[in-house]
Amino acid sequence: MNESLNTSPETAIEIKNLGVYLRKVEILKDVSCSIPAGRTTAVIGPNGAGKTTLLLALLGLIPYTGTIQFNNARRERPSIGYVPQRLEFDRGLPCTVEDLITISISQKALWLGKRKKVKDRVRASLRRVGAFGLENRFIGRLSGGELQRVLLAMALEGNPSILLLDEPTAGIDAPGEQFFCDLLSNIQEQANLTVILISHDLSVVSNHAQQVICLNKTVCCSGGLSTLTEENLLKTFGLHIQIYPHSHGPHQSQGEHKP
Amino acid sequence: MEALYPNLYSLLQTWVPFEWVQFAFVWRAIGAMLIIAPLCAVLGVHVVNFRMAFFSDAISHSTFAGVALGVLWGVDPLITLIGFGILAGLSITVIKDRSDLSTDTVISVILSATVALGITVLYAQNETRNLEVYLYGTVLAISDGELFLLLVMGTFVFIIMGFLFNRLFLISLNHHLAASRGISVGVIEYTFSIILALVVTFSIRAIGLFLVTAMLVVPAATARNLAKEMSSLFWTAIICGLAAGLAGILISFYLDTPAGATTILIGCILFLVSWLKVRWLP
Repeated sequence: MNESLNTSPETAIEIKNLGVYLRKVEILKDVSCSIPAGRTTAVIGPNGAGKTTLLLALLGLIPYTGTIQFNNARRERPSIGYVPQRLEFDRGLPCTVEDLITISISQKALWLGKRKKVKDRVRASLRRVGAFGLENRFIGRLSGGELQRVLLAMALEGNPSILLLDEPTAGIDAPGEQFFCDLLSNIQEQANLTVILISHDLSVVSNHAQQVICLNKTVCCSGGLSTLTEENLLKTFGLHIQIYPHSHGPHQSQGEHKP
Repeated sequence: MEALYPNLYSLLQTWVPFEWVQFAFVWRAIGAMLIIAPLCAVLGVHVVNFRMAFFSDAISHSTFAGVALGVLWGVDPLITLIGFGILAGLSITVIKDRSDLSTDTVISVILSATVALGITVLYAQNETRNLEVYLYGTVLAISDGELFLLLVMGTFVFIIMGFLFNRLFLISLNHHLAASRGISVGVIEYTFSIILALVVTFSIRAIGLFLVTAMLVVPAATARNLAKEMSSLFWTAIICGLAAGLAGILISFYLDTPAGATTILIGCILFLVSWLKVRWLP
């Protein structure tokens, strides 16, 4: 890791020349960008662009080349909350919301029972995300929006300074999406969280993010919302991507040349 | 330790007023089932969560080759059977992690290879006489030594599964989420594969390699239909496994049926009842 990177105080994460190979396939190449602290950064890009891979690299769950530097006193990976795209379970699984949050709080096997202290903490955790009263519902019987709030409650356990969300509004209806995004904004302000979210939904991005990273194997463009120009979107999502210099967006990345 | 068994049996025979209590082999079978049924049920909860029923089937069938090699090398087949089961479980996990093939394809290849090896070796050796012991299981023929081994293995596995329960459950829901919370996903997955192979191979003696997967899956599936939370899923699976196991032994004693198959049949009837309950009494 290169410790001599010059990060400004407002930057939470500085990514330099990040590359990821999985099973000999290049997933990410020369990704360089900075994530501002205490704000919401949206990662957008087509399917297979490497968005989830970027989150996994930030979590330190996959090997990568290049550097990811966290701007804290120890320059170490801080506590990171992660909200996955989905959970793998069948609808008949008799797992209650309380069971689900308990396994992220306590290592005591669920079949040995739950202490009152743990149950109180689960309730407090659910109240924080507007999901109080769901504790005895099966997770397979929750709506998409309810499950996302429960997963958010899980991610917030352990007081993370960074929150990563993978497609948080996929499978949620419009009112649910609005509710979830407002909730996320409130929690972010209260806890001064750095939020990074992956989204396909450009309306969610433009309404709730302050920073955008357009990703398609490498960073096509990054910066404020003004970066979302027609030209940049075509470059990120289009089938025929040309190599040309452009002058849009406040922060041009080095890695904008597509092969 | 084993010298205590005769005293224990005579004590039990004075307490319980039925014909079968006079036979030490029935007590041994019940003792074995009191260990195997809860163990299989506890592992079965995770096997169903991870959709690993086919994996467990592959381990049990691969022991066919273990038995064959035991006969070939002149070693007790019970030892080679356990070794081969663990080897098959680890091989599947390693190949699955390092190839782009789907899990069921990898399992199918290993299963076919080991069963084919077993049949080839056994027929080449003209040793097909005692195969029924492994194919159908003989819980009523378990020895005091085997019972003691089961008790040691069962205690060991039960303690480890207590430590791993929450972690395994979170891994089954989303392994990236589990890893993001500091869980060593790879280590725990390998540990679970080894433990599963161990329990499956130990249970073959009682249930038989054809039906041992059912001993894992059926009680857990029944409990899924009845449980109201994860804690009751765990305990209901154990109760269903024990009820089927003990009833299976007693019925097989009176009707002279194979104990393993009778146990699984009763387990399946319990599953049917639980399914009807969910279907008609939601």
